[in-house]
Amino acid sequence: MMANKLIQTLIAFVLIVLTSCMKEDVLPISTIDLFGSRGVFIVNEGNYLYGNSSLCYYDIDKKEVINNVFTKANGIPLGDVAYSMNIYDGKGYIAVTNSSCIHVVDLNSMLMLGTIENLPSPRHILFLNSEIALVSDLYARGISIVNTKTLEVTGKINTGGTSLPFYQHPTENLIKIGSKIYTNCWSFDNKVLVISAETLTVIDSIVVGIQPLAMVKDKNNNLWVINDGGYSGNPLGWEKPSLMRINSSTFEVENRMDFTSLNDIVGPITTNTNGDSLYFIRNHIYKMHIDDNVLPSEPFVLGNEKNFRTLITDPLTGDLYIADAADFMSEGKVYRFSSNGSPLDTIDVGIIPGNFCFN
Amino acid sequence: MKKMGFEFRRIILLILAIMGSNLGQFALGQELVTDTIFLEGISITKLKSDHGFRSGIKVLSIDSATMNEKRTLCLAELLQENTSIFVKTFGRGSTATASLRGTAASHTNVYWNGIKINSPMSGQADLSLIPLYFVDDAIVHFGQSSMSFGSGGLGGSVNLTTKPTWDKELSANALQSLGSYNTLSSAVLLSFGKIHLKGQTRIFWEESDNNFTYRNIAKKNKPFEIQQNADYSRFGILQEFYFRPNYKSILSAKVWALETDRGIPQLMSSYSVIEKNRETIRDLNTILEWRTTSELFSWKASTAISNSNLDYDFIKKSFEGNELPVFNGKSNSYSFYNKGGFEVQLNSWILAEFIAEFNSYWVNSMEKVMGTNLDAKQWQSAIRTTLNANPFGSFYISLLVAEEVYNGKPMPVSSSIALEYRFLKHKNLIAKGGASRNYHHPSLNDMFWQPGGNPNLKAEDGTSFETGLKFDIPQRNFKKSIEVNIFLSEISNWILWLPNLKGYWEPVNLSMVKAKGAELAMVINQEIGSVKVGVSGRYNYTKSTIENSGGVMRPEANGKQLPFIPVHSGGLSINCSWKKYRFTYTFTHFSERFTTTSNNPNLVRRLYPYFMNSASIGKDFRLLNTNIALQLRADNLLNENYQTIMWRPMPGRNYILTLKVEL
Repeated sequence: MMANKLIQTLIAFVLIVLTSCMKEDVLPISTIDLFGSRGVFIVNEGNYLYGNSSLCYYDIDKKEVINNVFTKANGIPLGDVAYSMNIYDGKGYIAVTNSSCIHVVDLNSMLMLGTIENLPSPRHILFLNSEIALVSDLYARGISIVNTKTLEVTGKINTGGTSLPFYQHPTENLIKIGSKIYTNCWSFDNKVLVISAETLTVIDSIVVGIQPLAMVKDKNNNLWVINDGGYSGNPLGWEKPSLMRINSSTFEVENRMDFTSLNDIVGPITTNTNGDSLYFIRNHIYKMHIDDNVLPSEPFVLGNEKNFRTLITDPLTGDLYIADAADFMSEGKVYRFSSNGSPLDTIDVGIIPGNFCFN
Repeated sequence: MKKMGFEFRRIILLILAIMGSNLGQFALGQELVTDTIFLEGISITKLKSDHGFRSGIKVLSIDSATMNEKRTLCLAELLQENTSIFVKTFGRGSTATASLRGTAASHTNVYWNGIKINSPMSGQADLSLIPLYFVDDAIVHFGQSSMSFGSGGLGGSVNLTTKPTWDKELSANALQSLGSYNTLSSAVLLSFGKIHLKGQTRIFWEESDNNFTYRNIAKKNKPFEIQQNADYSRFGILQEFYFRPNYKSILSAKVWALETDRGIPQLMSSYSVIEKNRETIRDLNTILEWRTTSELFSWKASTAISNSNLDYDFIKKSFEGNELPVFNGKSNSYSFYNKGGFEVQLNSWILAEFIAEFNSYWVNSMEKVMGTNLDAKQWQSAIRTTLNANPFGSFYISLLVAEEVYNGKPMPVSSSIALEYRFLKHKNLIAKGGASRNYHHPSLNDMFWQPGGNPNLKAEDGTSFETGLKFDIPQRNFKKSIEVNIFLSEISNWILWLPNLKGYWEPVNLSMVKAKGAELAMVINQEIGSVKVGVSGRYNYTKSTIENSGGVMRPEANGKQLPFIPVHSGGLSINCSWKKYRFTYTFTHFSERFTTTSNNPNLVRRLYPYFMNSASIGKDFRLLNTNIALQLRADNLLNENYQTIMWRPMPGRNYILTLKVEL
């Protein structure tokens, strides 16, 4: 009797087990239609090695956000550590650093048009013309030259030094002023490199502060560089974060302003629409005029224990968008402020929002 | 006087039983209560009145039949299939860590013959690096049960031991396995020696291309791809010597040397050309131990040295094929353990144990590409005393008090109390309960890693309560055991590594994490004619939540399940034997795991529920006067396409054929 019960129980259980297989989630596809809308893409890095990057689209007029637009349109994940997005000729180019690729998408439908592969660790893209774009890179010791028609890597601008351990010159922002291209070397470095846009070779380098995190140009075509100063134990050194202005004609640092504490956390920098004022992150958000010679003491927007990660101004309205990475292990937020500092909206986005791109 | 003599014999037998079970088994739980204990070839009849009660509430022993059947696996696979412990694995042959009762991997202490083999750097133990060739017994001590061996096991401990086989003067076993993806494994286990001196040698070698095919759902059109750079090889040798001058004393020396070389595959979403991403790990563990018993007490002393050496090389390639070094790290860690203790019967109902330890750790780590390095030392001393008492009837009590000092700084006192009452004399209905206060000191990485290490981190402070019922029904041809436990742990200053705005990760103390849950286990053994059937089922409910992050997380994270901890886990194992044939079937299940503190159910931020089926069939036979066993094992029976960590593929149905020859 007991034996029969046991056998019956076993058979029932085995049947249940055999029918409960894993449903490997194939990401559902839905139609995305952004045609005619004006908005901003928010590139969410996600966590390194988690493969949980995402792309959000915020409709500025409707004040509506669509999360995971890339995944919804294509049914695949964006990748690991999506870093930036740039637009050229109706196409979006999304650099995914740890997936070693740039996904190219249609800006209205977000459908994938192709992928530029075999980029070691792409960061930012600068389009030189309808065929050639430059891609900065964290580990390549160079800037990749890609053909945007064939989506192939065609060459490389060598930046890396020959001596280890430092000066590999990992490149970040790419800014073109006249016939020169400038790029800041952040990780374990202290240089801004000057590249000829004609010969595509490095022609000069400018010593800046330790770990130049971000760079922007003002209305006078001067460069503003914000340096994070490294950290305790950094083999390159540890100094107070700083903000400096580089004359793009002479390649000289004209003004250097150190922040007050070694422990100040600074973030990226942006300009207002006129290019005569700067916004930057130093725990809070600060605003200063480009002619000021001292750092502002009063915040423009209080951090209130938020983890401000990056910021940008709307090139049309001057509204300020500030990304908050929250605890870095959950979804972040983007706060939209008017140019006079009035809060306009709060947007729920993905994990570690790190970059913006207006369409 | 006669009664006194009886008590002495009882004491001696009890002490022998405990000592014989080796240090790793020191806290015998009810799982192991038997009438007979085999002490290194000597069978000692244990008195019925010797209850074996210790500070443990829940202890799970993996039986020797299971160990033998899964000898070619690693510890991670053994625990995943035979316990409800959640094992977080990065893929076949890759790093795997265990989480007990909703705690972190660093809260699971792993002991091998009494020495803690968690890395002093990370505080974690990589279970994929522990071959079952080097293990004879595996016992899991949940929660406060682990405190008998040391502090810090807020989730529990996994105790692994090796033991000599004195019954044969000379024996040799050879195992040869051949499996999918060019997986080859060879092992030789030799045992030699007479009654006073015994030597045992175990050597194994294993390699796998691990180049399975999977459907890549992270890429457009979901192409089938071959897993790259996931190959691994292992070589290990374990040498043991046992010297037994008499039946009261034993001196043992054990040396474990193991080298693992393995590739670290890319995520499924990578579009990189093949890059070099490999690590080579060399582990050396040595232990020298002396144990002896006298008329009134027993004592033991051991010293051990452990060295772990890691070479990690990560090189990307440019589009022209040039090498781009990203990370080239080497680390060396040394641990020096010294332990001594004794156990004494204070009177007819109290057994006291006292242990003192002095351990020191040194780590050196260097990264060549960027030139960062870490050089850190730490010493730790501890004293631990336990009183196990049977004050009256069927009531038992165990008290433990421990104190640890790190680099001269004393930790708060750890303590535990465990109670047991047996309601029914013959059917063994046992009620258990306990409470404990346990501390986990930050690891050397937590404190000194560059960048991010924080020497001011506070020790994790765990307070836990647990209670349970166990009901055994032993009958002829039928044995059933049901056990249910519930637990609640509150862990203050939980250490969690989080990214920061500087671009690196750093550890922070969370104010409060609460882990609570229930565990149900059932074992049935039935003989139906000449068929023996054993069924064991297990189910765990684990709710592990951030109650107060102390400001480092958003209020929205409060009350959410910790990332990677499943709420539900369970499994079923069926073992059948008929004549010389054996059949086993294992089913393992974990519910979905979130990867964010917000518990976002978004499909790219959670892992879907895990259902895994494995089976093996084997036959024993004799050929040319030699015992031979043949076994075919199939994993992922239903040929599932799945991941256990986001975007890290796992193999489909795969097989391994093992031939064992016993001379």
